[in-house]
Amino acid sequence: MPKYTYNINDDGALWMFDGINPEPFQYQPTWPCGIAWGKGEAKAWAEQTILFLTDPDADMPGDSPEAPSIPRPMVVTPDAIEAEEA
Amino acid sequence: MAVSTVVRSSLSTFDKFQRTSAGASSTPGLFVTAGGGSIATSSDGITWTTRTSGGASIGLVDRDAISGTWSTFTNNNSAPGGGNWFSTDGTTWTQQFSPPNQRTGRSGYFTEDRQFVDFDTSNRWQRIGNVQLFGGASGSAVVFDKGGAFRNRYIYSANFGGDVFTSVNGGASWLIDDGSITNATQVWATDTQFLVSNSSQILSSANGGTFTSRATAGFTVNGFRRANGLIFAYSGGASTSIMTSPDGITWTTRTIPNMTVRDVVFGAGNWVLVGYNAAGSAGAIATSSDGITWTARTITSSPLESVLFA
Repeated sequence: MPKYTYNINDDGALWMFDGINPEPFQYQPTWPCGIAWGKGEAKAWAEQTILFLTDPDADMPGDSPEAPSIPRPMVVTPDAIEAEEA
Repeated sequence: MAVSTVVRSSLSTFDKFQRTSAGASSTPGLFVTAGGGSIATSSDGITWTTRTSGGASIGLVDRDAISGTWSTFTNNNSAPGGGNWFSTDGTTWTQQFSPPNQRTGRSGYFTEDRQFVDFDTSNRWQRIGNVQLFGGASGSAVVFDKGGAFRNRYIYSANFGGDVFTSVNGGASWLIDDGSITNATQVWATDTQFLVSNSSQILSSANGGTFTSRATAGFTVNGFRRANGLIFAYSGGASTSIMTSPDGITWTTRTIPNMTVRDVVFGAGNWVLVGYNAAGSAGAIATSSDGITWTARTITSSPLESVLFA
């Protein structure tokens, strides 16, 4: 299991790491919708991202301050269909 | 089945719907990936920035060749228009609620190589772009390779995968396969070869009529892509293998992170695979600088459907 970490600078820009690759997998300077965020919001978003990446039932990190998390979309894969039909 | 030639009576005059990954250069060198409600961008294919996470039905990524405008939209005309997002710079995205396939106003479907296929009233395929299909196709796949020396090469399967039709002259005439294909699961065309997957078997044909078995994958092939001179064949489900080929004739199995591959692109020195994680619950991504060794990358997204670099 990757060990996720993150750094946030004074401007609120967020870098996230998966503990496997040396490069950050995420660079998030603002809310995804483009609205500027503070360090507290960036931290909460990073924590939700880690939850999303480690818990298959967790919500996705959100798009904006009004939607700090959103339900996780699921897809039905051919493997899942075959497993259900078996 | 004997090879036969079908001569079409006339070309469609339907308006051209040209879509391309090579766009104007307002934001050169940007990866954009999308799927299931997420859009993310990257300059190197490794470090990604989430751009939006709320739109339903986001599927294919496109960039207009003239204006340079990025767009994502659903590839299914049955879905509402929630998948239509637009951006001029790849950074700021605007969702436009509108009828499905608003760019055409037509009932149809976007193929995996981003050509528009018109449906008739029975939901049978009628046209690829501006080219009339022969006989009213109802098959599983259709692609078109407009690059390279052999332009206007088309291939599609019909009659639920049992027949494969090919054209080397932009749809002016069509060939039917030689009968060696009974379960076409995917088709593709390169500069010199037509490719068909017959379940896990990969066949190629230079003339579009006679197909030769080239390889057998360890999975049912449900996707072909070409990026930076390398052709990819991949499963429709989670797999740790893909097959790659420089020419469509010689194929090699490569090990990848366990994922469902949905699209492949090359940019900034890396091939980038995008798709679903093994559970189908989130996006998955892998990169390779040589096409041989693949590295799993992390991305914060819903399951991804497509990726583009421009």
